Amino acid sequence: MKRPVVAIFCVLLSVASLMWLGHRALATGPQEQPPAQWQREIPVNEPVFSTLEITIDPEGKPLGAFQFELTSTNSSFTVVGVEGGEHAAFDHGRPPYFDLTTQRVNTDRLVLAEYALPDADSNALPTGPIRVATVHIMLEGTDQIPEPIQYAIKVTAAGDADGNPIDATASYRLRNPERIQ
Amino acid sequence: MRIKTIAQLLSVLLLIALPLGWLVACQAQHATDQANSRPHWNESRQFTSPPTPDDSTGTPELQPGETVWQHSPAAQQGQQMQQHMQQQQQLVEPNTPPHFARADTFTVQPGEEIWIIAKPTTQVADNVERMPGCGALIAVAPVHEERQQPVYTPLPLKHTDVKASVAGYIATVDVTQQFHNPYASKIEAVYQFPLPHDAAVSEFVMEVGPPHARRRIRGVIRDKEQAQRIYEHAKRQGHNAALLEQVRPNIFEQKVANIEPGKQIDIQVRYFNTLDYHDGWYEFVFPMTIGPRYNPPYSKDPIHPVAHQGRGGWQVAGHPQAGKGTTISYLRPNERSGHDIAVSLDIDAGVSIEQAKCITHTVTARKHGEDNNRLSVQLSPKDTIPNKDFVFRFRVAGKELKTGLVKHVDAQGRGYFSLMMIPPVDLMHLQRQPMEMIFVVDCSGSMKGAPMRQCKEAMHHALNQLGPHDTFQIIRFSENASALGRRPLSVTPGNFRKARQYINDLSGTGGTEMLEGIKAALDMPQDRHRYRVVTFMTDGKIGNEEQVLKEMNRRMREARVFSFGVGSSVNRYLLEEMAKAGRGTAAYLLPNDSGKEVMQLYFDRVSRPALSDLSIRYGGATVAQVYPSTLPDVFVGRPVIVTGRYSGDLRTIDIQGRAGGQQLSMKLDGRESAAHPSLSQVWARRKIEDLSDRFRTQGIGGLEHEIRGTALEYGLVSAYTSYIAVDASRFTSGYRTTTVQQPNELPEDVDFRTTVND
Repeated sequence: MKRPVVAIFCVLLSVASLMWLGHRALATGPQEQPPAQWQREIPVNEPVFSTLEITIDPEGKPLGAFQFELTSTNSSFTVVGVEGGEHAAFDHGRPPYFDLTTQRVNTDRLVLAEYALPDADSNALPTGPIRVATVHIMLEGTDQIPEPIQYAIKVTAAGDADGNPIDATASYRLRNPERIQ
Repeated sequence: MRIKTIAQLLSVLLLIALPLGWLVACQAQHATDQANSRPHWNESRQFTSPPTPDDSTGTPELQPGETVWQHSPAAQQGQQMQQHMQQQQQLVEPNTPPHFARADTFTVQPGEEIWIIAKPTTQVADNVERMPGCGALIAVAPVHEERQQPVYTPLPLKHTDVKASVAGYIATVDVTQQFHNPYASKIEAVYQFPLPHDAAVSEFVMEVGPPHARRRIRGVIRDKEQAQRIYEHAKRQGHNAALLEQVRPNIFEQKVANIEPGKQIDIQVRYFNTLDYHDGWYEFVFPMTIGPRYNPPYSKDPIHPVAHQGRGGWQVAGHPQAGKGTTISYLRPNERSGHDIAVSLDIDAGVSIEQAKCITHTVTARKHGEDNNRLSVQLSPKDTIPNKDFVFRFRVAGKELKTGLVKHVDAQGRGYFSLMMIPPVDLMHLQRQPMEMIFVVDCSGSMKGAPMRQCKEAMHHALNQLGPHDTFQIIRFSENASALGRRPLSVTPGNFRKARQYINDLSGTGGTEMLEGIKAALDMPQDRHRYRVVTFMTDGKIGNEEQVLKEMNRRMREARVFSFGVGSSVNRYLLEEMAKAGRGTAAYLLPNDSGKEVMQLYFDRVSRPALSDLSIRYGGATVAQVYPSTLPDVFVGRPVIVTGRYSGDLRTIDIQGRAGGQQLSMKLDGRESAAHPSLSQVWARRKIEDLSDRFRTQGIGGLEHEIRGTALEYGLVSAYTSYIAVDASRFTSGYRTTTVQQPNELPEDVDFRTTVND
């Protein structure tokens, strides 16, 4: 009676061992699924690229035009491209225009202004926070500055569809690049 | 008993399976560790790139049928490459004609032959259809008499779209270049292309992303070196990036990094320039290709014309011409790029358009109802090969065109003006003094054929225009220079016969040592009793423009130099600068122009006295930074454009000058002016041009810094500034990229064998 039990136990042990080994081989082999996001291994001295998503909140008033100024207080950053925002009223079919000056070595000061389309419905103008631009930047010497990098952004002008000044605030969100799917 | 036997068997199996399983697990772990130790990115191996040309020995040509996006382990790459190569080969039985049946595997027996035959088009189409999103641009070259096999040429640039609008005499031109990747691995596209020499390139936008979610990124003007550095970093890290640089004032280089297989990146460039005006016609010119340049051995910054490398277009590392100057590749005569071009032009002349014509291309033109001031023109879809300049001319109403003023005040309150000074018709009535007419004819290889025929026709007609008191000389140059006589000849029937024979014997061959022609023409002792006119007849296809212009400036004395461009894709930058240095003007003889008519107008211009010693007084305004800083002379039929900054109320403009010993003056009401919002860029471009001229001729220190500052302030591409755009929000997949140079079409009237290094 004992022998069949031992035999069955051996069979089960063998099957379990094979399953475990097979699972381990599959888990570490070439069929492993890719990570959700790439991890960068950039040398220390190499600059890195990121984006700053700029959001303006007109605090309940319809936003017809705006101008903001962006710079950094503790880091050098170089603007390498500017993309438009998300609201249809500001979609001119081209990215927004901007003025760029170099404040100090490798540190830019960006002034960007945009206005709503002339035929945009004033009722359709944004009244809440909207992303108005994405600023593509290159950062250098990030290992030598205190974390986190501080950007200074302020709305220098904002108005409604009739050109009346309104109060608005601006904020930014730093995003690391994603992999193209 | 049975159970015991089974148990024993299983125990044996277990003893075998355990070490085997352990070995498999160790192997897999080792493979994973190796993959994770890559220098740049921890890339998923599920997305391994398909083979690139330098993944195997030699440089395999990527055929369209090979443009396949493979989702396969890296270990299978070599095998796939082998299969691709095998698919190109057809097994042929002895004594049987070649056939196009596909053989997946084959054996070569002794005595049998392997025939490698270009893939038929249907085969390519099949593969493309099976792989949506991985399309390849296929061009079937026309059959050439020398090589009967058509050549498939998949290339990154598939289309150029040009949308131009003209307001008054200022053109705004939007150029969109559509780059895509027809290959199986990631590429960097490099393309040298022409723009007008006075183009103020002031906008640069990169469009990326899938068709349903395109994103536009506006580029930034930067110092040339800084832009290059940003581009290289972005390229290395796998971002989409684009860089626009100036090679010459009329040649630009576009680089687009990390174009993934099957993906498309569009580059939009906007520029402004002023239209040319001569002999009653406004002229809009859009250059489509760069003529192959000749570079003397001593050239410091040559432009090498080389044949397109391979059917795949891969740039061959270690090319003998590589590493110095700029290399521009050209399609061979039997190759046809699938790159085509669309041009649309909207003209608002401000006054009624009387006549319009396009002498280079087939176009359709449409008026806007009853509005005679406006005209829309489109290039015919049957004429979309970019192998010659697009030239459209229009004439406006009125026998006498008035001097025109355009003004603009920008957001900072800075005023700009542009003044087109039309010479007074009085100049036509002035008697000319005896001339010493010297023709300097470019007889290099690029002038062979139609350009040389046109030159001859024009010169024969010019001889007829000479008067009894004139003298003439003909100098030919290619790799050296020689002349009709030792000194200018008088106008006699005998000398004419001799001259006509000399002209008829001219032919195009060899290099373009333009310095030899310049020395021969300008060093010749001058007749003090005659007014010397030197006419350079050339297509200007040289790479050492700066040396030639410097030498001209050094040798200029009392003579006036007029340049006469001949051909379908003339180097207008050189022609205009030569004329400027020689205090003359430039004229152009295009393929469909009548040499006789063009030479008649030209002769009227060069033989009449110019309006010289110009001075301009601006009433009611403070005017500064007027360019050109040295006012040129004004000739019959050719206006001069002056641009400047002003503040105040520009009420009157008073122009004074001398011609033929007489004092002439013109007055203009400053309030009768048009407006153009891009005048600031036009002004800045003129300023850069003027500073560059002074830098070249006078070598004044600090001008380089001023050019750079102006270009950065007004967002213009220059010799010291470039546009850069990076998509910092995304990485591309794959970590290797291969540079592909986009070849230019050879100009239609240029012989490949005599101009391009093959």
